[in-house]
Amino acid sequence: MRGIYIHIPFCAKRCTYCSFVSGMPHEKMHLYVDALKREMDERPIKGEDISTIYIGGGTPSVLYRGAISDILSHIFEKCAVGADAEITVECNPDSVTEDFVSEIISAKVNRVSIGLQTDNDDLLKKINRPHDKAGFLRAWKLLEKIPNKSLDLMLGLPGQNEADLLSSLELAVSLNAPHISLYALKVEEGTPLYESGFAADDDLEADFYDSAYRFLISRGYDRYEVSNFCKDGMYSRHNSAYWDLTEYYGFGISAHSLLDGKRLANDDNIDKYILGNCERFVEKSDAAEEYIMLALRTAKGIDLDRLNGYGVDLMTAKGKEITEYIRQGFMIKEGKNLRLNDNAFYIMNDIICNLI
Amino acid sequence: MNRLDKIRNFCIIAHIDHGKSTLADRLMEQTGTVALRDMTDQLLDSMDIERERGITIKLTPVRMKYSRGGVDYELNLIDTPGHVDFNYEVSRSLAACEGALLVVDATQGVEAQTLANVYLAIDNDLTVLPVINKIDLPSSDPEAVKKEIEEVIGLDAEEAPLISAKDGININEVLEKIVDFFPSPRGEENAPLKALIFDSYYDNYKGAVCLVRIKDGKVKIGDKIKMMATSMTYDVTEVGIFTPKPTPIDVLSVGDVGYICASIKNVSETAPGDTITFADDPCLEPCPGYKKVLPVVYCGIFPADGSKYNDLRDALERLKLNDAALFFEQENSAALGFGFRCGFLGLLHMEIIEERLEREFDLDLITTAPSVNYKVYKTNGEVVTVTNPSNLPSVQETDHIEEPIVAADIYTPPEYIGAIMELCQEKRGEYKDMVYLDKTRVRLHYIIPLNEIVYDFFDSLKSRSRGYASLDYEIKGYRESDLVKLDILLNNEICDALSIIVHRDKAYARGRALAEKLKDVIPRQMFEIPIQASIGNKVIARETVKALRKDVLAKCYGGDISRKKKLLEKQKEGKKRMRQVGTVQVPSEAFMSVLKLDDK
Repeated sequence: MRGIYIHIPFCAKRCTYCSFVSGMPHEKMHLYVDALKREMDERPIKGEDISTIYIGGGTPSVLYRGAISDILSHIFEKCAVGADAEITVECNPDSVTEDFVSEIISAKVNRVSIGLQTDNDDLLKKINRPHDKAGFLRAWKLLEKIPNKSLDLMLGLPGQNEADLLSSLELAVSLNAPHISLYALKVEEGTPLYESGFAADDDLEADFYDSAYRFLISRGYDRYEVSNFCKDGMYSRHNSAYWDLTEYYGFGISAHSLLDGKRLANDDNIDKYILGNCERFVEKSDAAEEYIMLALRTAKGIDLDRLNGYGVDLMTAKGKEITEYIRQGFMIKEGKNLRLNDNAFYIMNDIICNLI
Repeated sequence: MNRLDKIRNFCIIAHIDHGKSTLADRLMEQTGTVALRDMTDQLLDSMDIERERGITIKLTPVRMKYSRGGVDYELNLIDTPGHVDFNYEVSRSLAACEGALLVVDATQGVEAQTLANVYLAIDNDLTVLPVINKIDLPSSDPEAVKKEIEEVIGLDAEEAPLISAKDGININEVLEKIVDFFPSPRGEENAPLKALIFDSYYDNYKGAVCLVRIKDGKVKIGDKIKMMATSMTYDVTEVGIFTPKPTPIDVLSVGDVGYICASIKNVSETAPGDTITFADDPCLEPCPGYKKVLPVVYCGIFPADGSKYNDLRDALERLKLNDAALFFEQENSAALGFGFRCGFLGLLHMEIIEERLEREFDLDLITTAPSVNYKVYKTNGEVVTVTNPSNLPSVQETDHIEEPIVAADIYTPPEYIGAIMELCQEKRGEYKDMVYLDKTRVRLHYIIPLNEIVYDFFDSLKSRSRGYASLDYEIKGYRESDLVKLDILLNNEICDALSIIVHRDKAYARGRALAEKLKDVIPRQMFEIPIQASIGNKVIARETVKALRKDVLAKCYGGDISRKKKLLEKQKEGKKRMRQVGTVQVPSEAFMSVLKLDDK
């Protein structure tokens, strides 16, 4: 079983913090969708068992009508996509229309991830999001036939205070969102936000995160990954697969794949891609290190037997460090399971560095 | 005229910046020793550091030919280091000469280090000829400087050539006076060989090269020689002179300055001051004045990257080949791992070695606070010498401690007297006297503990006198003192590399300053880190590094794991430059940052 990721590098507007490959000229959409299908034809996906599909970006909802059905039916033709497969499309509230919703429902999309980021209109404007709170509520209503929804929120936005954050979370909870992802703003070099001189305040973000965590737990959500919360087991199967080293194809510019233990990265030049000469690079990979780094992000943690299968006996290699972390209360070990304690999730890099 | 009458052996004494190297360059140019096209500035200073700092560390002799009245003279110039740390090197090179040119800056007058070396030259029975340099500068006052030379040093300056080494003015007069003024060497050509080693260096192909002045006899290839201090014998493989490049010749005879190679493995076998003679037909007495040089300043040197220990050892061994005064032995620090406790002649020597290790051997170093030789009198009657604070016996075992003290002469324009006296007082200095050398210069005489000088005395002296004051010091013995070991505890564990020995009265201020500084340089970690300064069990200062709150990768989806992994690898790389002290990660820079604390 493998997953498929499709990258859609188009947006209505570019957010000030965005460092992803996005914001390509809209006139290239048709050619790009054709090129996506060609890439699928060229790569050996025929007959592949597919358990999750994720169309992300960018903003897939800005695509012309018919694009998403076109892409998905191309996959259905070639691969064995089970009836229970999770098929997610990312969308922005402003481009969620009635037509869009009926298209994706008929294209068998059964999960949407909606980028709200915050429900404070001033903050939304400041980060150059194209929607407002009212627009989001309208989109949410339009999407009511797809119950499996994720709400994306951010913490640490310029000017955001704790009350803003809790108000957004309150809204998510009141809408009974089954899944909430809560990412800290990262100021990446080269973004307008970086150029503006804004610097993240780690202590403030940590305070926000602690409050958000307590709030969501008190409202019945589970933190199944450091930045992802869900109710009633409605976790993202596609993203969980990444953290579990399940293999996946990535199509489109800058998309990554994990196939037969190899990590591949597509080039990010859209013109070359459209012309059909997309370069694909092999990236350095090390299953054991990646598993430690990714599994520790999850509530489940590391299965030491599985890690053994990747050739690393962690308790032998890093027994001293782990014992010390357990003594300090940062880690928990139960049988063959090793995971972070609640207090260590937001400071896990140091631990990971010491274990890989 | 016999052979010896045509030889003059001389050196140049000058304060830093007074133009010694430039004058040496001009002399070589004028005598045609070095073609103009081969001149680089300060030709005799062969190391980059020497040229950059404008100081001479190693002595490089040169033979120049000078013709006058149909006679070809052989002038041997022995360059000398100008710094107090290298006093012994200076005395050795002086012992190889009959004359000394005293270069004085016509705008500055006589300086402290000049004085010390002039007296050293006079003690060695050298004829001293003053030369007044920089007469091209508008602010020069040769007459006043002449007067000062006569009054302060007591030398007749009437004959002093007035020159500008920079512009090549009156260089010929200097050459003439060298011939007329300096005595020619004396000695017996037919006596057994007696050669004074005044320096040595290591050559990859020839082994240790001894720089010698032949006092009696002669030496050639194949002679069997003996070092009188060690009685070790060798077969001579090459003798030669410096032009200034080493150039082999057939025989070195009495009066000559040159070099001897004899497949000697190590410069430590060619101790400066030692005498070379024939193994089978030795001279009766060695040249006087030989002494073993002992380090006075110590510090720990560790590789910033622990895995570079072997590289550091190799580098120190390489430097030791050329520097008999460098001392090192293995040291094992709980905080810094394996490294070396190194001994130096002084602070400048220490800085130069550190800089050469970093520059020539491309090593990143962590050095610990400089220390001196303490004498600890234990209650059981034993006396131990301690150079490493970690080895200081416990208070219970200690009866009392003595520390080395120095007699310090500080030369300054009068306007800084107040600031400098205040500094000396802060540094536990004991005022002795003050002499107005003239209207513009004062000499302050203090007795000061060496451990205060090695800390940051030079920097403070310079900053409080706008760079005008200079310091000259010599070790004056030991004095009992109320010294304590100041420890730094990180998360309740002593970090041995940060311990220092300090006077009790200064321990509080130093402890506070150390703790504050460390708080700034130790990064936040997964738990709160108390930083404490303590004497014995008594905590005298405390700071806290707050616990880390956020250190987590953003979004790990979209399948791009490699980008995230690179961030972690970078972070892990950064951790390599950290030292584990108990449970605390301490960056290498932290150990260095505490070496220079502002006392204010």
